[in-house]
Amino acid sequence: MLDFMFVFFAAIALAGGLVMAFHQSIVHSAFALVAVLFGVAGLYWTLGADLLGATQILLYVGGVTILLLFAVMLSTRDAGRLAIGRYILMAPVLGLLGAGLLRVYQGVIAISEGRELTLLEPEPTSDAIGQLFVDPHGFLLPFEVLSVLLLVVLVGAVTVARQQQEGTPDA
Amino acid sequence: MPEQAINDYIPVLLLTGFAVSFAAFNLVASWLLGKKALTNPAKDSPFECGMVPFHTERRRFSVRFYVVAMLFILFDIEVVFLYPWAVKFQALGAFGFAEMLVFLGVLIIGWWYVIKKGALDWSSSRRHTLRRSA
Amino acid sequence: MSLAVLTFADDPIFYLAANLAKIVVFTHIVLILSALSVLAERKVSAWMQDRLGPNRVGPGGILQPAADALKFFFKEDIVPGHVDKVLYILAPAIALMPALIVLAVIPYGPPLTVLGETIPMVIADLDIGILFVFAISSLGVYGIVLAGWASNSKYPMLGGVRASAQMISYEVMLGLSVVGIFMSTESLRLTDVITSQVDGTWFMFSQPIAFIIFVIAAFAETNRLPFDLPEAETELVAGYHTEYSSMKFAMFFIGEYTAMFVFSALVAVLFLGGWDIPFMSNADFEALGNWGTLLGFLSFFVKCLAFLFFYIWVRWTIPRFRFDQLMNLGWKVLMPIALVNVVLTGVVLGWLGS
Repeated sequence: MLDFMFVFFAAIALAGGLVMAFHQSIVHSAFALVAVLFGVAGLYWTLGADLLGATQILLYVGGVTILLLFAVMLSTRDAGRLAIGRYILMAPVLGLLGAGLLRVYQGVIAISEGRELTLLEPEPTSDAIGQLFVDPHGFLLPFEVLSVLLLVVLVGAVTVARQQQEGTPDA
Repeated sequence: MPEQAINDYIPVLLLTGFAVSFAAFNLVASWLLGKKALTNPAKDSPFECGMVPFHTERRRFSVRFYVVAMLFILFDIEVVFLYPWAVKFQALGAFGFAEMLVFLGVLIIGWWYVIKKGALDWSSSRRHTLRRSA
Repeated sequence: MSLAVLTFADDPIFYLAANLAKIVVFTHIVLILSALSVLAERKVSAWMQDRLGPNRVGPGGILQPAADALKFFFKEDIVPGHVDKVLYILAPAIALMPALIVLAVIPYGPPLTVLGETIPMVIADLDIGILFVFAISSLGVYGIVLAGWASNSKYPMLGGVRASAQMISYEVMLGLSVVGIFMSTESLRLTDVITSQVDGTWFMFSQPIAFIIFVIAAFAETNRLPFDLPEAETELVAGYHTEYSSMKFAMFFIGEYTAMFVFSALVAVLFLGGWDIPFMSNADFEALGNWGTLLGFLSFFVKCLAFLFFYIWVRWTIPRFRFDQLMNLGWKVLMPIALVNVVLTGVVLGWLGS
C-alpha cells in the first residue's frame, strides 16, 4: 500500500513537472505547478507528516501559486507565450546545476545503502510541532526570527507595490 | 511503517476519486447528450452586451491585487503557526503565550505599516477622489 | 473519543465497504440537499418578495431541481472560439471538486454500530481536521480564477480576479477566527470539537466574536450576498461564468451550493455543537446506541438547514458591498478583531487554568 501511494504521488509530481517545464503558456505552467505541489504534499502524507502536507497545500497551492498567477496577469500584456529562445543561454548553467544535484542524490543513496530503514509510527504531528516552537533547545529562536523575516517581506512588498502604483489601471 | 496515517487517508483518496469521477461524468454526459454546438462568428465572440469587442481582455491588473496575495501568504503562514501552538496552548503555559505574543506583535507592526502606507487603500486613486468631490 | 475503530489492516473488505457506503450516502445526501437548496432559494426569495416561485414541476415545485438538471444535460454544449480550451473545460470540474472533498472530515453524527463494529459517522476523522478543511477549500479559488482567465473575455476576467482576491483575503479571517476554539479543545479533530461541546457549552456562546467573524468570512468565501462581487450581475453580467453554458455552468452552481452546505456544516460543527441536542451529554448519546446516532444526525442536519436558510435570508436583507469596503472590512476591521480574540481567549484560559 505504501509503495503504491508513493508511486502514485510521485507520478503526479513528475508529470506536473514535465508539463510545467515544456508547456509554452505561463498560465498552463503555473497550473502544472499546482499538480507538482499537490504530488509533493501527497508524499508528505504517505510519510505521516500530515500537518506538513496540509500546510504545503494551504500555503503553496492556495497562496504562492495564486501570487504567481497574479504576477503573470499583472506583468505580461498577452499573458501567455514564453519566448524560450531568449533563455537559451541559461541552459548550460541549469545543466551544470542539474548534474550537481544528481551527484548529491548519488551520494545520499551511497550513504543510506545497506542501512536498515525504520519508519516510525507518526505521533499526531501538530502536537509535537507545537511543543518544539517553545522549546529553547528546539525551534524557539528560528520561530521568532521567522516573524522578523515575514515583517521584512511585508515591507518589501509594500515598497515594490508603491513604486508600481502610478500608472496601473484600476480593476 | 506509518500504517495509521494511510488508514486515515484511504477514505479521503476514495472520496477524491468519487469527486473526480462525478465531475468527469458531468462533463462527458453533457458532451454526449447535449445538442452539438452550432457556432457562428457572433457566438464565438466574447460576451459584450451585443457590441463588438475591440481589444483583448487579458490586460493588466491593479498592483493592489498582488499586495493582497502577498499579505495573504504572510498572514496564512502566521495562521498555520498558530494552530499547532493553539493545540498545545494549555500545556505550554505563560511562556508559550508570551512567545506567541512576541510573534504576533512583530507581524502586527508589519500589518500597521501596510495600512499606514496605504497599500490596501482601494479607493485612493485619483479617479475615485475626483468622483467623490464632484 | 477512545473507541476501538475499525482499520484497514483488521478487515480490508469490511473497511472498504463501510467507507464506500459512507462516501456514497453522505455525498448523495449533500448533493441532493444542494439541489433542493437551489429550489429553496427560489422559493424563499419568492416568498420574501410576495411571489409564488416555481410551482409547476411536481407538488409545490419539488421536482424543479431534477427538471433543471435534466435540461442542463441536454443543452447545447458551447465552447466559444476565443477561449483556452483545456483550462475552460477543466475549470468547472476544479470548482466542483474541493467542496466535495472537504465533506470527508465533516462529522455527521455519533458513531454507528453495525454488525458489532463501531463505525464513526465521518468519512475520515483526521488528526489535522480543520487544517484539512482550510487547505482543500483554498483550492476552490482555482476553479474561479481559471474560469476567468480561460474565458478570455472582459467580465469573467474581472470577476475571476476579484473573486480570488476576496477569497484569499477572507481565508485568513476564517483561519484566525477559530484559533480560540482549538485553544480550548486542544485538538484539531472535528469530532473532538463536537464532543467537547456536547458536554460543555456551544462555542457560539463561549466564542461569540469568533462566531461573528466566521459567519461573515463564510459569506465572503462562498461569494454570497452581501459579498457576491465576483458575480455582481449589475456590473459584471455574471462574473467568472459569463462565458459558460449547459452542464459546465451547472457545475459552478453545484460547486457553489455544495460549498454553502460545507460552510453551514462547519458553522454547525464549530459553533452550534454539531450533533448535540441541548441537555444531552455524550453518555446519553452512547446509552441510546443507534437511536442516539439517528437523533444526532437529525439535529446536525436541522442546524445545517437553518444556516442555509440564513444564507438566503441575508441575501434579501443586506445590499452588496463595494470592493474597497469589502477589502477594508476584512483587512482593517476583522483581522485585528480576530487577533484580539485569540489573545483574549489566551488570557481567559490562562486565568481559569491557574
